[in-house]
Amino acid sequence: MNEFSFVTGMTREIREGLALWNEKAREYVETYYQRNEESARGTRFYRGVVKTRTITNNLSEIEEEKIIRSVFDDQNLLASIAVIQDTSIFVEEELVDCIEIESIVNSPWNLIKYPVPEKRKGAGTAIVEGIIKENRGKGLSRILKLFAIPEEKIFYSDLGFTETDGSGEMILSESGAAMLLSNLDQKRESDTFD
Amino acid sequence: MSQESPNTKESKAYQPTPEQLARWKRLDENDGAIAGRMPPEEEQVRIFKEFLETDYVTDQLERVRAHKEKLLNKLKSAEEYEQFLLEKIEERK
Repeated sequence: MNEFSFVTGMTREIREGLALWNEKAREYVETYYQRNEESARGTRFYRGVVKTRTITNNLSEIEEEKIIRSVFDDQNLLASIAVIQDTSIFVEEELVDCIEIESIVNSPWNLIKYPVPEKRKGAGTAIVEGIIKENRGKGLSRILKLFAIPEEKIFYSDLGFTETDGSGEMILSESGAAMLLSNLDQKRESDTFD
Repeated sequence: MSQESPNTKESKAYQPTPEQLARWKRLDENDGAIAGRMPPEEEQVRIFKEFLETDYVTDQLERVRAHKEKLLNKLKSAEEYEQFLLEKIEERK
C-alpha cells in the first residue's frame, strides 16, 4: 500500500507541484491524445485537467478565503490537492459543523489510464484520510461533505460516503469516518496490497 | 551477537474478508479521485483548450499580478480610512 505525506496550507512545493502537473499533462496530451482536445474529452484525465485549471485560475482567491490540503507521494511529488471550507449542515433538523470538500483532484499521472512511471495509487484515499485525521487531532469529529459527479460516486461510496438527495451530494458521517480509518489500518496490516 | 530481524510478512497478521478485498481492489482501480462540481460541458472545452494554448507560468503571473493590484487597492483604501480616523482623533484634541 502506497503511503503519502499530508500537507496543510499552501507551500512553495505545492506551487512547484501544480506547475509540474501542467507540464506533465501537456506531455500526456501530446503522447496519448495527439494534442487533440476531442481525443481526451470524457476521460477522467480530461476532467482532472479541467478541475485543476479551475483551482489554479483562482489560486490567489482560494488561498485567501479557503483551506488547502494536499498529499505528496514517496517521490516527493504532489499527488493530490483538496480545497475545503468549514460549513454547517442540517442533520435530522439539527445544524451541525461540517467540512465541505469543495474540490479534490489527483495529479495527472494518477488520473490517466495509461501506466506512466509516476503513478502511485491511493492518493485520493490518502487525502480524505488526512483530512479526517487532522480534524481528530484537533479533537473534532466533523461530518465531511462533497459533491461527486456520477463517474466518481463509486469511489466515494467505497470510502463510506453516502448520497443525501440524489443530486451528487455525499456525506461521510462521524461513524463512517471512524470505519474508514479502521479499514485503512486493517489494509496496512494485511499483506494483500503491498 | 547478531539479532534476528523480524519477519515483516508474519507480522502482518490481518486477514481481510472477501468484501474488504473487493472494496480495496475497487478503491485502487477507481482512485483517480476528483470531487466537486464540474463546469458545463462547453466551459470544460474552453478550459481544456486554454490549458493547451496558454503558457502556465505566464498565465499565472498575469493572474497573481491582477490579484496583487486588487490587494494593493484594498490596502490603499484601508490606509486612507486609517488616516481619516487619525485626523478625526486629532481634531478632538
